[in-house]
Amino acid sequence: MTVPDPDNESESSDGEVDPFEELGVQANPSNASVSDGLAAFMDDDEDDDTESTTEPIIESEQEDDDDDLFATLGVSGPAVALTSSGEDDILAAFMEDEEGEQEEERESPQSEEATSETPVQPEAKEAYRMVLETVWVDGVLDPGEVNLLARKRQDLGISFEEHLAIVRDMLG
Amino acid sequence: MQALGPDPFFHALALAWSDNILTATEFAQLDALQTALGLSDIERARIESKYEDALVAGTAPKGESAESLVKWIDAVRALKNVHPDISSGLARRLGATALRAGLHPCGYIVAYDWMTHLGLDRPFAEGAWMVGGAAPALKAVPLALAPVAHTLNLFE
Repeated sequence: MTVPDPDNESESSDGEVDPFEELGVQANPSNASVSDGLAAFMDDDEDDDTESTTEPIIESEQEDDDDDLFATLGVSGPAVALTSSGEDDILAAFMEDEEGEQEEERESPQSEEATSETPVQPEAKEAYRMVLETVWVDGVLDPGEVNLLARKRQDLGISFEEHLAIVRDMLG
Repeated sequence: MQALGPDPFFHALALAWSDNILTATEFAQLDALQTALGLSDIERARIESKYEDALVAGTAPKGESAESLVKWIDAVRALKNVHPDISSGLARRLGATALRAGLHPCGYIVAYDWMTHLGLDRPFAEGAWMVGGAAPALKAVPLALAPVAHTLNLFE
């Protein structure tokens, strides 16, 4: 049985001990196509320099920092390769926009928080739900539609939490 | 790896019952997974009852081998034990990768529920809905996220 002893976890959680060494997690991914399991989780050609405001999110770091963070992960056992979508990244445009509009992007979640303090009109939620149903009517959402929804949320003063609740209610 | 149930513990049960026998060792392994997932005894019992009902009905999904259970639990525990920034980042990227492939309602909600059980629903959703900008795509996922990736049609 290779499941580690839970007693060791408390020791590892204080950051002084590498949890994966303690867990005996292998450093080599099982998938042969992945030469570096940590790098396997990364996209070489992209990253941005956005600095997280409220949450330290790894993709907001530099590439090298990402490597460090994933190195800390220690390749948690086997990795499974995903289907490659080709060279073109359909979110590239949104990522480039992000470089020029970092502050705006950062403010977005905060403004959603701010609007959540004032009750959202039921009509606004209903209107947003209709938009959501409309863009999802073909059974698939693309980045352009997701971007449209984000703007609609801002227009209607709907927070991300409310959005998630509406999605849950719609799909639930 | 295909999701064998609606959540990681149900998935583990399916792996444990792959040979139609649940050993004491496997039961202890499931205990470790319960702890890792932060499942209450009541919640675990509910999931087990659901799986047992499926067993009786002959509709219970089953994994390939009992060894898969150990790998699965190790993978989940590693993901749960890693620094939250890293697991959240992975979840966020997984959401963004799913968006690149196209978000389907059924796949999204099943994946979201799975990520909820892993405590990663919020960053996953943020990635999928591009909150805070578009996150980079993943080329691979750790085993613990493979069932979710399969649900999102991210495998060939």
